[in-house]
Amino acid sequence: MSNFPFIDNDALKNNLDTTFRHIVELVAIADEYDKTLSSSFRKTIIIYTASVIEALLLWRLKKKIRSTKVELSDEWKYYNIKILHRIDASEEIIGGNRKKEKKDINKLDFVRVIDLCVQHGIITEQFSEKVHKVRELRNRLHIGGLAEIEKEYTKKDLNFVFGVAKKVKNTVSKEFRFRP
Amino acid sequence: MKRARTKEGAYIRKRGDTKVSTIEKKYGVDLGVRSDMKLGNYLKKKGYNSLADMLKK
Repeated sequence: MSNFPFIDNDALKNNLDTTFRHIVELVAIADEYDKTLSSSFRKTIIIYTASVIEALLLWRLKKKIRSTKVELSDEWKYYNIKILHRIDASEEIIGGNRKKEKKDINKLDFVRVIDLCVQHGIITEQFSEKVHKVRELRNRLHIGGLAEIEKEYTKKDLNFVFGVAKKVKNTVSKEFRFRP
Repeated sequence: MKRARTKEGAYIRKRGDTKVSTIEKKYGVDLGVRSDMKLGNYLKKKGYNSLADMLKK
């Protein structure tokens, strides 16, 4: 039986269940190692939990928008560009047309998914701040961009992320109780 | 409480009833609790209530 019975997409439901099972097992064993390795396990758990949160929000957004394309308020496609004046090799004054670009909903990044969920009333702006915090923790998987030695991930970090995940699950499933 | 059964008569396994012993064997660890403890209860004991709650429907 699924932990996400309200999800009507079998592939997604399966992927969520597999990921969730992995999270639960990692949590069970994370404290059994030395401090550094336990922290690494917790980081892995955070990354996977963030992916569950992102997937749930995207699923709910697709239910709301009911389209494969979504218009973003700040993304434009530029065309018929003419150079009016060249200031130097790296700066020009241009003129032309621009049109708001529609993006494939399946190719949205996490930050866009969160912002669109706020825009469409799926989550509040206040709660989105917590989801963004999860996203920022998740983004620490890009260790090439870290300026310092990685921080220690704690049980407090995990409980924060789990709290957000629980609320997201409850929110997105509200209208979609399991139908046999 | 009446537990649900499959057509063949076996009890339907509920989420969260994985036993600690399953994890211990799988990963070769000793979690320091009774092996027959349910995983959901173990998570609550460790202070992960939100995660344990997500194991329920």
